[in-house]
Amino acid sequence: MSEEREIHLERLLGRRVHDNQGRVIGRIEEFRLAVVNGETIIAEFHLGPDALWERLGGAALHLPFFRALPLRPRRKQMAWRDMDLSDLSYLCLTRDADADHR
Amino acid sequence: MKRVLQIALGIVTSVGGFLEIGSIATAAQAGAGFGYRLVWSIVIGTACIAFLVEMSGRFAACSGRTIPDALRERFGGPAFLLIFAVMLCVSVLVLGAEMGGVAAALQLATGIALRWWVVPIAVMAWLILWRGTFGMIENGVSLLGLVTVVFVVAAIHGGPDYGALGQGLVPRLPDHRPAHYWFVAVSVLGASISPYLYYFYSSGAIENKWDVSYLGVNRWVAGIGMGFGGFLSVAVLVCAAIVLGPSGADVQGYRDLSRLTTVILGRPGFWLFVAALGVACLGATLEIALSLAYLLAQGLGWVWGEDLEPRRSARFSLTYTLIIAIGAVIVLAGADPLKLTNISMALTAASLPVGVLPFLVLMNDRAYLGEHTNGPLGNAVVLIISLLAMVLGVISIPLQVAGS
Amino acid sequence: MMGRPEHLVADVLDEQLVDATHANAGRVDGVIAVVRTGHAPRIVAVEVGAVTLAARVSRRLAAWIARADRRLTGRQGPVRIPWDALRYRDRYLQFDTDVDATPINALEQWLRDHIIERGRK
Repeated sequence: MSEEREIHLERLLGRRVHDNQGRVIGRIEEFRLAVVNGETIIAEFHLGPDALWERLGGAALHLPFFRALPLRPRRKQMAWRDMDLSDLSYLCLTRDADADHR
Repeated sequence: MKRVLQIALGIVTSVGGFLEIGSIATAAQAGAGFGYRLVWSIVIGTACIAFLVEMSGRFAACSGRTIPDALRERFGGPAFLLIFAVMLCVSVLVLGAEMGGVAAALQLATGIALRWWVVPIAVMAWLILWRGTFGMIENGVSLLGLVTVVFVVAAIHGGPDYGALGQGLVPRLPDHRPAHYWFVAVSVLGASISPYLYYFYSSGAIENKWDVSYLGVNRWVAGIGMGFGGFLSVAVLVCAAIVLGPSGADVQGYRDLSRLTTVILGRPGFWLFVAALGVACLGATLEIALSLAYLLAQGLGWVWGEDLEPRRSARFSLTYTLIIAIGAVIVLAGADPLKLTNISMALTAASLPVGVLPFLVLMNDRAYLGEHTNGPLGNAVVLIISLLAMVLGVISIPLQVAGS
Repeated sequence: MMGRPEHLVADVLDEQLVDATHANAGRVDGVIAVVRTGHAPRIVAVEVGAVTLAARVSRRLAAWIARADRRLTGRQGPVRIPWDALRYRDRYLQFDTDVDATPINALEQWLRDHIIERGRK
């Protein structure tokens, strides 16, 4: 029987995620939810460039005149099984995950 | 008919509540130091706050939320805490300046030193908030603030140079003391575009239960109310240009300020100035304390409301109590209220983007406003003026500090 | 939970909480999930309180607030509301009990009882 651990999801926000080569592929900025068998699960982790400062500045990109600028931040959507949460101090993808998945 | 009366009341309370020590002192310094050359700074500051106040009311009416509520929801807890921290640091300095202004009015009236009045003023402000209702504060104090119209009377009576006044509408480079010129310009902007004003306005719209049907009322109140308020600031500048301008003297203290109306209107002008200063600063004291309490309570999800008994909104009520106490401590610590006014207004301007940019993002979000999001003009005016104020502030504050 | 939030940050985190009477009951300061190897993380509760919010900024600040909170209110940590007890609405999340029956407003009650009511006597 595998062990259950509790984690604080809000503390994962803005945290860097690494690929299998140790490169940073983005920061966690959102979690997509799904209901499976009556339970609410994290279906996807959405990664982007946002940390606190970037989120505040990135929010400015939503202003109409800034949208015209070629400053579209890249975002990745990683399925839950692609994220290795065994060590919260070093978030990375699982061995089989494809870092280029969008 | 009811809406017309609401518009009238809103305009009147906006006018009555517009002037406070910041706008009086900075406009006076502009007039004393540079004649009519800085009228443009009052005009663009007033335009910016008119847009911000209108946006604030529209946001509340359309979304059913206050600005702090939406800031927390949209940008998250840590970002909200950062915005709150910046607003708190700058606003308590402004609060200290306003409480100093009330104390100065009483000092002028009685001859008793300013510092002896600080605690009674703090207690009085606290009692008004503790016992009063939102309507009483919003309407009552602001209606009393109509005494500030004395500046318009004095300005017209003083016979201003209308030609030079018209020329002052156009921004020009200074012909002397450039560092001080830009510092005063920034201080004027900071006095006009105080974030606590439009934060307070959004909470007020919710307290008054505004909905989409109030958008017209909101536009009239914000536009005409703020416009007339800016007109009062220009009147202060004109009085200073007439009374203090010829000697080239800076405004050194409150007695210099009192001369703006006394020299032109005689003894009645003095007493009207004292009343104007006291009421205007008291109104601002109440607004700032409430505004900060609203910001914290709404951001943290507490029960809040000026119409609620304090026992039913304990954290909210004790927050404004603590804020008033901090303001009093700042004045009692010996801060020169006029110097405090200048620096707090300049800091307000320099920190404007922290409060304004996230708000602008909200104002363009259809999830909150539906079809009533900002148009390009509103976005452009607010964004450009806020960034301008920040740049000027960042440049001029160190120069002014170094110069003095 | 009835109703369907689709995204955690946009729809749940930092949202206003209200109780059965629609009184404000704080905000969703944290979300707790259970992680098990080979299974998707499962959301089990939300947390309410200054300690949880502070922990998103600074652990030291959170520890200080936790000590002060324990001394004043006797609370032993942040308040948790089970995920299944929440109903998701457009502008807030609602739970089915009176907030005064939970520890959420312990500080509010302490301030009322020890400062405001004492001042009235």
